Amino acid sequence: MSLRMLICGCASVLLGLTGCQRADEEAGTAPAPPISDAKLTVYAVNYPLAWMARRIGGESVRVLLPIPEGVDPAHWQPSPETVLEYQRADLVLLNGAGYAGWIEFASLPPGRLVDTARGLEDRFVAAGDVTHSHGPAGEHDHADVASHTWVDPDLAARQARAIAGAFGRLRPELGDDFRQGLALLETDLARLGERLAAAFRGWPDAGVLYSHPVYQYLDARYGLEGWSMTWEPGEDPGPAEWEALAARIADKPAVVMLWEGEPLPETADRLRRMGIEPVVFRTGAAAPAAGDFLQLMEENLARLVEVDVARAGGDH
Amino acid sequence: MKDILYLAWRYLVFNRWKTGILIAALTVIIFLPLALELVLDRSSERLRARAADTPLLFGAPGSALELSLGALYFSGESPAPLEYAAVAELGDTGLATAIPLHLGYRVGLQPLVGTSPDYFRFRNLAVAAGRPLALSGETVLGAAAAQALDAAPGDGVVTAPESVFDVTGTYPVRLRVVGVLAPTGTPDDEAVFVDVRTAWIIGGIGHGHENLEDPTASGSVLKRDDSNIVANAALVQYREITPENLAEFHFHGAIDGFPLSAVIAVPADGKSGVLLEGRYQAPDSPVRVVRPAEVMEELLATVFTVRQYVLAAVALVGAATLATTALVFLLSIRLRRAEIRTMTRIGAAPGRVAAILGTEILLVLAASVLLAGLLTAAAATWGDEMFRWLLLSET
Amino acid sequence: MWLEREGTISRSFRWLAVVVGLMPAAVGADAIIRTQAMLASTIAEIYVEEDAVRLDLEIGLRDLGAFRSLLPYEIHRKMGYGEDPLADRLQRFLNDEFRILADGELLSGQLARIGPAERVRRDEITGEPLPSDGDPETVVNASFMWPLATRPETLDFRLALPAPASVGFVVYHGGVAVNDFRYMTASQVLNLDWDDPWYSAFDRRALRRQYYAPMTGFIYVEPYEVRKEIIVRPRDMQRYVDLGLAGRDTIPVELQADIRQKIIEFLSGHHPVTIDGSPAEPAMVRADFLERSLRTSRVIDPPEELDLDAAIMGVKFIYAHQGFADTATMRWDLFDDRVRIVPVAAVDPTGPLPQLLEPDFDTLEWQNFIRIPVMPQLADVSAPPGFVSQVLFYGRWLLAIIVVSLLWRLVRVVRADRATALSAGVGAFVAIVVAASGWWVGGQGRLSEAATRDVVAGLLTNVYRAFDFRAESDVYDVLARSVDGELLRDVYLEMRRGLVLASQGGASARVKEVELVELEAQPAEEQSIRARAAWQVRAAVGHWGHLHERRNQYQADLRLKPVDGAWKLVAVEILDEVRL
Repeated sequence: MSLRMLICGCASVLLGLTGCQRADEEAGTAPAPPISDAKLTVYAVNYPLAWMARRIGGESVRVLLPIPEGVDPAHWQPSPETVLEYQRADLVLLNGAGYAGWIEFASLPPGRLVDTARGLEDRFVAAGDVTHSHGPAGEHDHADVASHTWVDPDLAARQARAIAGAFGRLRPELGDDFRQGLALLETDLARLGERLAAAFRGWPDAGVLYSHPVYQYLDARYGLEGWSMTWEPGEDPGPAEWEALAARIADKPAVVMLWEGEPLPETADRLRRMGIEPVVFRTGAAAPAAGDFLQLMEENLARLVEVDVARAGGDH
Repeated sequence: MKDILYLAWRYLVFNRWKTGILIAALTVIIFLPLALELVLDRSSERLRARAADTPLLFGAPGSALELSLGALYFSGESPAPLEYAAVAELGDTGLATAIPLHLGYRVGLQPLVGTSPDYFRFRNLAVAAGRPLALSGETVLGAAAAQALDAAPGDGVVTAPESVFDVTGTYPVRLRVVGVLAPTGTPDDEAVFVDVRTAWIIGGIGHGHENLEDPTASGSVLKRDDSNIVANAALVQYREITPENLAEFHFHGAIDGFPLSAVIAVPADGKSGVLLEGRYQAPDSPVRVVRPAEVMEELLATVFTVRQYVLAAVALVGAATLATTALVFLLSIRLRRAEIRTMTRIGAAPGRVAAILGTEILLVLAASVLLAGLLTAAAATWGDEMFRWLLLSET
Repeated sequence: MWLEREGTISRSFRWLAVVVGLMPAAVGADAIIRTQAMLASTIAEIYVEEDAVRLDLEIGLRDLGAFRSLLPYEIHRKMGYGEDPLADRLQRFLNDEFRILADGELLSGQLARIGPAERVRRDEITGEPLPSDGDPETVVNASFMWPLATRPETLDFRLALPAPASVGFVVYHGGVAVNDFRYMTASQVLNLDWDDPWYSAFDRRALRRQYYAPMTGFIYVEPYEVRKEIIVRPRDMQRYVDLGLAGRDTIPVELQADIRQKIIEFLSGHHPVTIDGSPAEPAMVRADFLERSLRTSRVIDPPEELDLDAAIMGVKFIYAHQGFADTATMRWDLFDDRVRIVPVAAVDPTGPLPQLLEPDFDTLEWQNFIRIPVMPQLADVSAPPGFVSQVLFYGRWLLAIIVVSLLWRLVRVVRADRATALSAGVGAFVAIVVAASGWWVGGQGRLSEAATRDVVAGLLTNVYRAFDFRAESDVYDVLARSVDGELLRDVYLEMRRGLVLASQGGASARVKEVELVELEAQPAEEQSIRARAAWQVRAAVGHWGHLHERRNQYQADLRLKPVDGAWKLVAVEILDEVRL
């Protein structure tokens, strides 16, 4: 081998080894794990939660609410196959406050359940249901709190925060996006709350009735001091219920009655004859046929402002 | 060579009793330590693997061994209960996935395990027939449990009563089999899996009965006022949860206070696991955290310590047996002096005689080794089951 | 002797548990006025009780002349003081020399007993009795009693001895020490509060008990943490929240947990704290019954029944903070007739800043004027040698031989053909550079003794530095820089256990300095190093107005190993621990 080659070879070896050493020193750095770009699969137990999840998560989440049309989510009983779908979700959004009794007996992974009303127990309102007792334990309630929490926009905002928090824990790299979505949603809900407050001004003095016990949180938030019947929009209440209503308004007059849906025309007429104006205020538990939750609330607001409670009592 | 073998063989066959006893004794001496090593190594490997696969266990303060054996192998006394609130608490840390376990009930002789869907994912349990658990009242059987109970999807199984003498205790509940798991070679094969809520219903914390507000239930009503209805002893409680009566089931009390036997915590990573352990270091903590791998190592260390003593004993006995065997051969040679003289007289060289005698010994040894080998192979097949049964049934 | 496998810890991690216990206060957040009165020749302990005032006198032989009125007749006569009968002299003593006036009226006293005794050895700071040191001094013990028919509002203790004497005294009212040990003068008037003896106090401010205030507050500002410490009396808290103490004289053990919880709940709504201008919420709150003396304050553990009048409780609010605060404030909002002035102090790494708060000046403010670095600094630990360095550590000799052979060949080539001198010279230069570089690189393949010392010292320092962080994730990450494998988990958990103990006991230490004292190291398998090291740790803790320092020395066998391009401890076996 020529001398030149030998010298060049030594130099090359040295340079190569030096490079190896540098690479050797850097070898301890592990590559960063790839950021997941898969959408979060989120299941909800009612429409307001699903709507809020979509508002917060945007394109990063896939929100599902597999409740058939026309079925009240509060009393829906999913099939086992549907429960298995919920099991496979990244997150299952629960309303809390005892909403959706089927949850109690479904096999769902606790780590993926988000009780959106957790921490709001001090805001819960008694449902006023009849309890039952047996055995040595004595009296106990089964549905002792009202469950339609989202009807109060402030509570809805708190539930939205829980949703955003759950999203952020699973996808911290998208935290800013979720916070932005939450901020916009909170702004909308706050504005809704203010408009409802304005619409309900004067109502407590006039007297408020509810066709069904689903407005407890609305009542608590706006101090309406109303009371509930247990009537259904598509059914005639029956003589006993009319008598009970008459006895109640004799004791405490009322001029408006909120309904989840359109009452029967005869029911509406009879109410008006009694001096009670029926007003449809949909809670939005199930997905509306058209529009979203805010639009549904806009429609509710439009109906509320049409009622002049100061004059309504004098119309019969 | 053939003639030496023939003569040695004929001698051994002629003295079959002596030969049989010698082979049996030598077989035992060779087989025992081999089998012990094999069974212990393989069984401990499986035990370790099961424990190593379970990063952390949370339970009520008490015996770590009891907690680990119960949660991993569904054996022994059911650990002291801890509250279900621990599941949410663990989940809130964000450091681990919490998998509840409720133990203590049985279906026949099979352990009933109340858990959540995460357990199946965690243990890589696949459904071979039917579907996974979806609702309370359903059950998914391990492969061996399905065989033992002779049940398949669509069948029903009934939980074992807790006590025949406690007439006020909980009644057996009929569970609907919705799935059978693929075999895994782990204790999961023996288990009858239900949702943890079903386990609570079996325990009587939840139940279902006719709706007392329904007029048809008047016979079960003791008294009623505006806010409460008191039921009488005629109230019938449902013993099977079906889609039809599911709505009538309910729990009494807050779920956070309901009992669990253990919670498996699956940390997100090594750091999360250590951080989680660190949060439960207070001596007065109502929840204790256990690393099953460490607990099993301690248990196996005890077992292996015992093994050392056993091996030492076996070695002593083996030495004695070999000495006795040697004595038997020596005495036999002495007794066969006339025979040996005859062989010599008829032309057998001394070396040939020695070869015949040596071949007899070799044949005995070879038979013993062969037999010990067969027995060891059998131990390899069934030994770890036996070991687990021995180990876990005694604790 | 040497470690057999990684993760071995043969003893518990006492080397990490530098939770500081009782130590002489190096610095007090309160300025402590110390006298030597407890070492005076004569000690007077006065007990004011419901039915009488009692006096225990311990008269040193040096002061016998001043207390000649109490001497037996024969001794009195032999000492040349005259032949007055003892009875007369006793009357003179009680009427003239040691008088007690209750609301201006002279009390009538009597001698209970007198005789020789051993002097009680006393702590030179607190005056509390200490065990005998085996070399007792003989003194004269005399006990007197002055019956009380009513509850006087004042007691005036007047001393007029016939000769000078050094009399240290302390007064107890209802079991509560009214003052710290002071020298008795001609007159000291004590105002008695029979409803709450805690508030009994002398007219003269100089005789005021060091811990006179019923409530005290402290703000401690440290890296990653701000602490608010409030000291209160459960008896005073009973005025604000029902602790179940009405009508009681003591606090039984079974009530103490509930009392702690109620006081925490009450104080959680008071004395708001801001950090860097923003309201702060505590991450942890802890309350403990304390025993407080001039020397130290300690948590009473195990619990014991406590005298209601003397019991005090410390409540600690810990606020986590990123980094070191710039400002911190605490507004005191609990003033009433009893609590008019509240001694407070803001304590930072440079020391305490005491103040007095009152209704018109109710906010303790602290601002960061510190110029020295206060954030915990992690030590730089050099990286382990790379693969090339390790190879060349052995291979450099071969390289040197090759280069020498090459140079030899170059010389021969030049001799054979001078025309090749230039290229040969270049070749020689390259060869020498290669050899020198390889020799230097190979030299990095093993740590020198000095480098090993730096690595070990750095690792130990960084392990202790993890204590300074509060967020558990930060603690873990800092530890993970210096410790690996099972040892990482064990150290972290031991540290957490230590923190739990510290939070229960009221203090956790900050390590100030780690000094490597001795080191013997040798290479081991897998490029690791086994070392026997001895090091000292200096730690400090501040709580309840006190600052303590502790210095410990440890000896251990260590094993270090390169992991992911960094030196890390993988095994520690403690051999010895000494408190210096």
